[in-house]
Amino acid sequence: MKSGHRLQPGFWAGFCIFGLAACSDLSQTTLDSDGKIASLFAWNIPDDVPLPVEPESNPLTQAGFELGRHLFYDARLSGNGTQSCGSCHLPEKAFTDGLPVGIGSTGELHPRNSQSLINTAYNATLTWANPSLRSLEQQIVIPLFGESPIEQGITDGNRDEILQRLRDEPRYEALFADAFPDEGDPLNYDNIVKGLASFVRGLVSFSSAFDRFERGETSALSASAQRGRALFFSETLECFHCHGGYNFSDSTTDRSQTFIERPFHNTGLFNIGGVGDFPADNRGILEITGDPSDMGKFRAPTLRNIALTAPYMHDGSFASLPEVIRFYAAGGRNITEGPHAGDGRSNPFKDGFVTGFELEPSQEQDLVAFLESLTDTEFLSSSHIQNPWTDAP
Amino acid sequence: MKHPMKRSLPTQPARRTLTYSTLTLSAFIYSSLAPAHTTGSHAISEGLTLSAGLATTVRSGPDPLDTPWQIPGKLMGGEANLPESGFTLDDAHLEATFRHRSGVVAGAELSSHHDSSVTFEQAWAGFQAPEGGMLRSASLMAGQMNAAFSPEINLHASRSAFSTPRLMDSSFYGGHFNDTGVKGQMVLSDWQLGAELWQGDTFPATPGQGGGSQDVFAYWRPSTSSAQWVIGGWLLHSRADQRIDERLTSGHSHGTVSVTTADTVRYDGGEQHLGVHAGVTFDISATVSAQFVAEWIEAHAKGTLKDTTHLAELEGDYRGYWIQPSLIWSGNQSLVFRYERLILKNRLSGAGATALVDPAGLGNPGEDPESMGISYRFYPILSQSDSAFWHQLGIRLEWTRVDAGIEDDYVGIGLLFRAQDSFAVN
Amino acid sequence: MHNVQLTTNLGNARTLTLAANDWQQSDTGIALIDFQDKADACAGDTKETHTSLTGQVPLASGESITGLTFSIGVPASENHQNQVAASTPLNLSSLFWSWQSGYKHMRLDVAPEGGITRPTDSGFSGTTWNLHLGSTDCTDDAQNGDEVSCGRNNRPDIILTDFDPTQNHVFFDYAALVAGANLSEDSAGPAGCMSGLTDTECSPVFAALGLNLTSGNTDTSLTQSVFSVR
Repeated sequence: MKSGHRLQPGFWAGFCIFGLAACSDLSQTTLDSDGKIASLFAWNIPDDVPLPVEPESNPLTQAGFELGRHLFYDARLSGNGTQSCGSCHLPEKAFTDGLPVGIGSTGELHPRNSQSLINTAYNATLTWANPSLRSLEQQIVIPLFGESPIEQGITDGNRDEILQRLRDEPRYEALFADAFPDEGDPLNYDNIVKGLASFVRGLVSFSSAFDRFERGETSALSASAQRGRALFFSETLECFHCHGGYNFSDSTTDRSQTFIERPFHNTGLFNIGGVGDFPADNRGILEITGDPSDMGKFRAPTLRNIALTAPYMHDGSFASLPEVIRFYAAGGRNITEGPHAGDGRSNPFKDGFVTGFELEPSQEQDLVAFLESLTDTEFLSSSHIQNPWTDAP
Repeated sequence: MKHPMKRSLPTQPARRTLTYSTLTLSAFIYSSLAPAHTTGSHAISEGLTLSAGLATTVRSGPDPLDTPWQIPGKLMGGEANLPESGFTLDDAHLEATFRHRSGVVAGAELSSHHDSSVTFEQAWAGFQAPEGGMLRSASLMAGQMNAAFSPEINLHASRSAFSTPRLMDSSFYGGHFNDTGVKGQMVLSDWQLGAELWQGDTFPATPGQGGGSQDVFAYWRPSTSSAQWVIGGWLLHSRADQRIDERLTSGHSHGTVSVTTADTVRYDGGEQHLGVHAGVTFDISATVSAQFVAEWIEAHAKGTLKDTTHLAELEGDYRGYWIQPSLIWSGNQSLVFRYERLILKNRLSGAGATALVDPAGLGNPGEDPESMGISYRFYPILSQSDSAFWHQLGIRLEWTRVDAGIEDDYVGIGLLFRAQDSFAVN
Repeated sequence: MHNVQLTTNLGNARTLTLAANDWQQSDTGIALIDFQDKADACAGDTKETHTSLTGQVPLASGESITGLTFSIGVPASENHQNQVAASTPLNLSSLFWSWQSGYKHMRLDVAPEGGITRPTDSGFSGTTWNLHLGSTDCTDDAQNGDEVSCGRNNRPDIILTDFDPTQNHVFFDYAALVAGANLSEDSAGPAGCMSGLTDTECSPVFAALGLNLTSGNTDTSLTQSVFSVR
């Protein structure tokens, strides 16, 4: 605001003689966020981003994060000792694996693409399509114990053996004791889940080039990325309706929220038989809700670090960002032959924002440049999130 | 003696003009250049009265905004809009009032403000008791009406000193107060007393269940041979249920889903206003009068703010005042100065407080919104206002500086026209 | 199973208070009946089974047991909890139904000879025809402390009459359960039935249990054919 333009208080002081006591009284706005900024954890996020929710039963601590980091990268936490969480969630790929779909410890293919774990603390729901999975603690039970598909492969038959493996690792005694100081024997599955949840919850990043640009560092974005930014937030492309907000996902929650939205979208990737169907093992939240209109609806993932998380979509359909952009530009995917044939563009359950648009080749490059600016290399390369076992003595 | 009547009505004999001069001056003040409170015309004249007004202005500013105008620190809504730069039609209205000797009264008004659409601003009917003794008028009417609780709030631009609404009316009443309801008022000697019940179509209320407004008002208008006074005020209570800023709801369609661009903040709660209005008009000489008018509002709002995902409690204490000294001379010229200031205090509490403060427009960095302006009006054409038919045509030069969400100053030049005629009805 | 009640000649329905052991919880009335000893093709070492309920029921003099009722599955009050911290038998991960924030109410996985094919997908080859019965269309998250509720509870109520505990057994007939299903073929969804509304294998299985697939409730117009008294 131009301060020189403001009316001079001294000039108007004369009117105060009319008894206008307000003259000395200034406007003000006070905020009381109800203690919503308290945490034991050093979140290290910008002031304008609200803190994520921490469950009362598992408040985030530095010790819990550190325990979780060790568990996350520990292959002993799988039934056959071959695979850790970090096998499918590699930090250099923003905690994805570069594969179309994940592969479990026994070689079983997961029907879905391994998702980035950055900022999952802000997810209103977890995984690609499950409206009832809202806590990391609940979600983590699935890769640990799940049978269809088998991921970590922990079963009733090997669960005690796995605990013993962890007991045999000298580092864990102190790690568990620090994270759960009030418990006599804290090495149990409940605390393993809490530790893993703590590590994943603490993976928050808001220092990409885009973030620096938004904070006033105009040189942080190239001219091309700035043009891409304008395209991204335009009503023509409609990207931001599903990939909006500070976490570039409409399925975002934080402590400032009282009412939580948990949206899911059908983007027109399939339309098998022209009746809107998706492949049998990947039907979105329909699999949970049983509601026929929920066919093909998946959660919009964050676009932060998206340049590192190829291939894209819930089943790894697209290998590159330009392919994804062309898919949205077409307003869906038309599969002309094979068992999945059908024109996704006319999927009856398709989201109203996926209507298609036209882009010049240079504009497509601009949009890709913008998406690349969402990569937070500083965070992804920081030592506190890396595999702690590689530097073991 | 040079008198404007002589120029404006050259066909009339000079002597006659002079004999009317004193009378014309005061009548002119009442009808045109003075604030409305001094007119005291609360009673509907018998017969049919038609009146019309028009005001257009060419303005050098302010620069248009991409988003609705927001005064920092006050929930806004209704038709609170900044004036537009360039050529604007600020007011075009045609009003008819009718009173049968049985006491039946009715009225209707067509008007257009700031845009091309013409709407029924007023349409009402009721009963007005005959005068008797101390009772100068008593009436009960229902329909769509302009509020009477403040003498100046609904003054058309063709009649008010400035072409643009006050900050105070914009922020507290969404520009003007026109609603559907019931109005009862009486004028007893120097006193005007009234009460109004409104459905809630007008900001800050919402219509329907959980909404609505009520007000009571009282004014005392004593006068001496050289001065007319008015002292009074009003109490208003309004309730809003899930109120959104209507100015934001320019919905647009995306394929199969219709959404608004912003996640609009809704307000659910009440608002109480105490308003005080005072003014005096006095003659300095036979051709010069001075006026001083001021209005003060104390308001309190308490309720909840929410959008799709956030919730916060809002408590607001708001104060606003305007003061307006003016000079009127030669019967057809006036110079008016206006200053106004708002003191807006908000307390937001709850989980959504931080998230909602900016979308709601309640963030105030500690600066009182204010504005000031100077208006000069000159009516070269002016018929006698005591006749059944009268008309006037004038120009207005004005300068405004505003520091309330926008910082700007601009000048305007405008044309003002008013006319009125009365007809006897058998 | 839970809510085990014995009906008597006096017209009473008396709750069976379960003996507390690794398979039964006396406070919640939940018991796991487990026939799988893993001596067959199933992965893992052989294990114990639990094929009978033990408990106590008070009877008046002259009162005798004439029938048995129970509900299959974990009751709603216990179905949504922190599974990795739950007490036995609710800590068995093979019965976690985590994607719906609950437990499998019934699990019967079989390996049909010749495997399983999918007519719509020539590349598909399955080995196990699974029946996983569990509550679906659940909202909220138990680990979050939310009160979870499910649109389809899928807990069949079983009513058996002419039951004398001193002479009779409850007979579970897997053949009747899958009588309407083709175990060598899968047409949609996971191989077998995992309680999905659109999983075509579920229709005959739910009907055999007396369950309405759409509502997830016991349907009185259907007669369960799986459990009988012998």
